[in-house]
Amino acid sequence: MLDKLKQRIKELLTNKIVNCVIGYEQGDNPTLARPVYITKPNEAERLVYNEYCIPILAKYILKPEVRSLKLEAGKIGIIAKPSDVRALVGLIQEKQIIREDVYIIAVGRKEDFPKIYDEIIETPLSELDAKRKTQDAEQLKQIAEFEKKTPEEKRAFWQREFDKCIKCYACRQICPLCYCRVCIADKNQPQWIPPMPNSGGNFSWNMIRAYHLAGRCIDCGECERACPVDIPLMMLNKKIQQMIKEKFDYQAGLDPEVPPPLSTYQEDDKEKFII
Amino acid sequence: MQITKTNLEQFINELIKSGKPVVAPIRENNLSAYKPINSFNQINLDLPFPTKSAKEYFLADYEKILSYSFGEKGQIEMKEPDQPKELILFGVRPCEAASFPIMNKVFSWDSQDKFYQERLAKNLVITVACEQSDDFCFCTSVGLSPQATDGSDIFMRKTQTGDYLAEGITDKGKNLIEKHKDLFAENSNEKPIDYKGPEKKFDLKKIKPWLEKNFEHPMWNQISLPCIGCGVCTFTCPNCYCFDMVDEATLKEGARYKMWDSCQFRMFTVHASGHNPRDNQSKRFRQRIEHKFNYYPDKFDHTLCVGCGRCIRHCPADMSLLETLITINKLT
Repeated sequence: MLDKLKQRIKELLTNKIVNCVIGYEQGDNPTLARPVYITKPNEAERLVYNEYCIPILAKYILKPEVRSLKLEAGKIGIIAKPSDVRALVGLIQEKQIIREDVYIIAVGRKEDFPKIYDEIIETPLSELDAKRKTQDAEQLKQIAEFEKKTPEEKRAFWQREFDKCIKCYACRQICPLCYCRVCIADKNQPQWIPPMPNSGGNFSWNMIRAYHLAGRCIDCGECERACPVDIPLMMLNKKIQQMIKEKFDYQAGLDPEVPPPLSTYQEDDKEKFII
Repeated sequence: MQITKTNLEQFINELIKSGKPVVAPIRENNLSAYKPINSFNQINLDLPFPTKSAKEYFLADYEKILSYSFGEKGQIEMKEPDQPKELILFGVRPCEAASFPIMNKVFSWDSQDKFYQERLAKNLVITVACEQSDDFCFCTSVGLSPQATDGSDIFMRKTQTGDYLAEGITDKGKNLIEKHKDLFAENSNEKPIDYKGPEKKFDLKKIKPWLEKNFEHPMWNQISLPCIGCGVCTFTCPNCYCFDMVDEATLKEGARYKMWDSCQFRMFTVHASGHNPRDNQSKRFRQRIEHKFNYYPDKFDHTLCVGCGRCIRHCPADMSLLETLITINKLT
């Protein structure tokens, strides 16, 4: 599979269909592959593809340094997992990237991808995706357990979890849908969110992060993975996903043609929330 | 002095009973952290190292540095901040212990940072020599070792039989051993586990001269591309000391807080005009390396890195300080 991938990337670069490909290489961490930009056909040899190819590459397409690599003609290629393609769908919907600027090389099972990729290298269910599916099931169970708690217990749970937060913003920085040029947490005139990692500051930050991703979170799980202090952020994200599904019958990251429910307006929108 | 495992347990429990908070590495769920403990049994000295270093007990992640209120006639009444408590830190790694005096160089330079200095004077550090390291450790490459006693008040080495050899390094440490001397015995012939640490991976002497000359080297752009610009490296680092301040106020009272800040954040260098001299991540990444291995040695004659490996171990995008330094070594 890897040989086929390398071969294909070489072809794409040689034929100038893409100017650059975002993929993974092996770095210092044996359990985490490193995002890499391949611009020359012979560099494709550096590519790896295994269960440690975890960091979401769709995030990297937004980096100014990467955008500048997209020379006059040609596209940016991206070796995409299902979560990468879902993120790209979100970014296209929200007009952060133009579909035609990106060349998507999907790697995985056809049924796991939104149908917007340019080509696919089919593989059986990857270990990474299989692991993610088990994690998903566990988290849904956790949420069901959490729902049984009293409001006081719920608050205490999150207070305890958020107390661990060190305000490193890894959750925001890794999130492919967190692309605001100036994040609300960085606005300091006035300072809307207390910048110190105290209970007020941590609660505001973590709740605002989750709320701002309502109907937009594509469920890649990267915020939770990036968090150095293991805050179960996906519990929040998944709960909100469930609510969006229930209220709007919508799941983010599946179809770029469907407008996201929280950023559209229809005359017959329900107005039950207006008192 | 030699102390048996049982006596060590008693020693720590006596320290806890004496009323001073004792901070040690513990494991909560899967997270390893330095936390105040209630009993010796909570301590976990195994790998992985605590995610956050023990830095927060010297340079608080946030603290109130002053507060004020308006009196009835509108006069300002200032309140002094709370005094830091005396702490005993047990099970600190030699690399982290070494970081405390290094950071003190900047906090006792032109401006005296009494918050840091007071904590450094009050805290007592009991270091335990490492018996193992992981893929990310590189203390030996920055001039330290698992046996380095810099910054420790008491230094402990485990022996083959599970006892510990304790050495009072400072007067503070010696006095504490003296106070509990019934728990310690003279050294027998037992040898400590003499772990030499990870293999040396680069030549520190070559780094600074290269950095001085290569501020604009194309390597910076290339190597920093995976960086996502979060603060994991700087916040888990035992030596990164940059902080920010913010005022919180109502019409009646207010307070000024000091908290960790990170050079990896875009906001770190944004001027009031809107101009940002470090306007991309490659410049911000370069700053971290230059500060630790060029500017700090220039000013304070010491590298601002102890090789604990946290910045690599916890990086969500596998950015590697070590690999950067090895690359620089090869370029020289």
